[in-house]
Amino acid sequence: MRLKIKNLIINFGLLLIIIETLTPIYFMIKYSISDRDSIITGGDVIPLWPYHPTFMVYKYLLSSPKFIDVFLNSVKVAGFTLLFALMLGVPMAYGLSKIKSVYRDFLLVFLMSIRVFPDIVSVIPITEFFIKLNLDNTILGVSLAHTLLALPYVIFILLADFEKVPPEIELQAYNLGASKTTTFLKIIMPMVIPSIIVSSIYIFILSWDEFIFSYFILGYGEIETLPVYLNKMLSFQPPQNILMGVAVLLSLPVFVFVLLIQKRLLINIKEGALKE
Amino acid sequence: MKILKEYLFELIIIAPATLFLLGFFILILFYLIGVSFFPQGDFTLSVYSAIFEDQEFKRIVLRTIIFVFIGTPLELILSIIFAILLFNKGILSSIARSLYIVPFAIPTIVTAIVLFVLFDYPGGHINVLLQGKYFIFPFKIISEPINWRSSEFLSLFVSMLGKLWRDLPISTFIILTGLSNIYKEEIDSAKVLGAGDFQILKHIVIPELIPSIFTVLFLRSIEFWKEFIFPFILAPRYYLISTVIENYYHNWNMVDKASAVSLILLGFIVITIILIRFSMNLLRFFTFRLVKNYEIKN
Repeated sequence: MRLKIKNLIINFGLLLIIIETLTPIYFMIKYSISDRDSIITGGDVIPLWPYHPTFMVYKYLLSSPKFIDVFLNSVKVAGFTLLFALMLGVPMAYGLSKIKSVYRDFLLVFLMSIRVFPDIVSVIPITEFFIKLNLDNTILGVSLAHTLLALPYVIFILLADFEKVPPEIELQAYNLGASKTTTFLKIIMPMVIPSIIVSSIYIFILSWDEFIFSYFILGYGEIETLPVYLNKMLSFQPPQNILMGVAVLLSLPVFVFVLLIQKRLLINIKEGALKE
Repeated sequence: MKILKEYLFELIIIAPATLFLLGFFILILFYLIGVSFFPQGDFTLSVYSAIFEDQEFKRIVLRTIIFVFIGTPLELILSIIFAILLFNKGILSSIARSLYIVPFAIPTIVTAIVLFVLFDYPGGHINVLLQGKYFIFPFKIISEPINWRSSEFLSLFVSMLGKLWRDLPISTFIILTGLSNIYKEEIDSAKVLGAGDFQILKHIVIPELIPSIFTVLFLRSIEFWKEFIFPFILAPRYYLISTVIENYYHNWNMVDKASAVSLILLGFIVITIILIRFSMNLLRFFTFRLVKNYEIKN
């Protein structure tokens, strides 16, 4: 009897976790497919499921030049961030993996400490600096700021993988006459391609949904990324179905990519937790 | 010099990223110090004294401290409960385990806006639900709809809910990892010796979870201090330290004050880290003493 009650409590708790996890996502999707009558109810209770579900909002958004423009801006920013972060991060991680010196760990800790600054703390100096360089309200400016956020993660992920490459492979390449550059580009780098792909997804997600830097650097100018656009929309109090349509389209790539790298993500959280 | 010769190629390839990170590190630190301590060129504490004399700022600091000191333990307690529930085997547990990464896959701003809509006044879903108007929950908790954004307590409560929803999976996973490291034999032995569930939880599970608990406290307290998006969207009238930085910068164009508050926020984070580290060492010391005393007695 006691065991039954215990199991009942556990299952009830688990059910609550499932409901708690899915509720915001359910309502996000529900609103995005709601028809006008399901949102503007004229004082009646707002329904839990739309009266006439429709994809009208998605059709509207995907045919809106403004939305397409903002969407493409987000793609451009994430693309440039990806490019910069990999260009800087891959050689950095490889170089660090080869240096066997006490100075290496010191350098690593020092460089990683850039992430000690909360985003809201580091955003003002960077925004002011970019204003002086005329990089504010530009895709390049936001991409550089996002690169700063992404780079420590890229180095952290790739360093561990470069360190796992057996040194004998490099020695064989040198013995066969390959230079250090050739060995790095043609032999070692292809061996860590899976990690580079995972890092790329990390970078993309980070840049895609980043809000603070995009909001400060783009300010109230012409260029907007999706999170900035969503925030601006909120101040105009648009119909909730349009707001949620944008939210779904913003979440979709992140959702797909997180599911793709779910296993790796959990390993990294675990490693981070155990290091403390 | 020896290093330079030995690692010339490596040093060349790490140079661009090093300069990039180092450059921004120096820029951030020097800018914040320069603008807040040397606003006119000479050293002065005038910016800081103006901030600390401001009664509103004192309220903001107090509000942030309450936000951090309620949010962090709440997240810890919930993550322990969630982890213990998820640790059980069964169909529901498997479904919950596969789903609990989902909040991590939703951008923070999206979560904040979903909550903004759900807690809308007067006709948002939460108000309708609490009024008992839905068949799935026919209990009338409130008679009139609540304006969640008009009260300091409620708007920050909703912000905290959002933060908890988004961050709980990570904290739960950290605790779950700690739980997985507990030997099953230890629990079985305790059961054989007559220990009940509560005794096992108190004397085995919680002590073994201490490293994971401190990791959650450590990471989450920092997260709560620097939380920006939820209070920015859901409690725009009731500033926390992070959101007042934005207010000083965008609405008042006070770069010096915004920089000073940024350094103050950094200071609070550093103090919290030191306090958590200190209490962790203290707890380790006492746990060690307790074990020692127990061994001597037996």
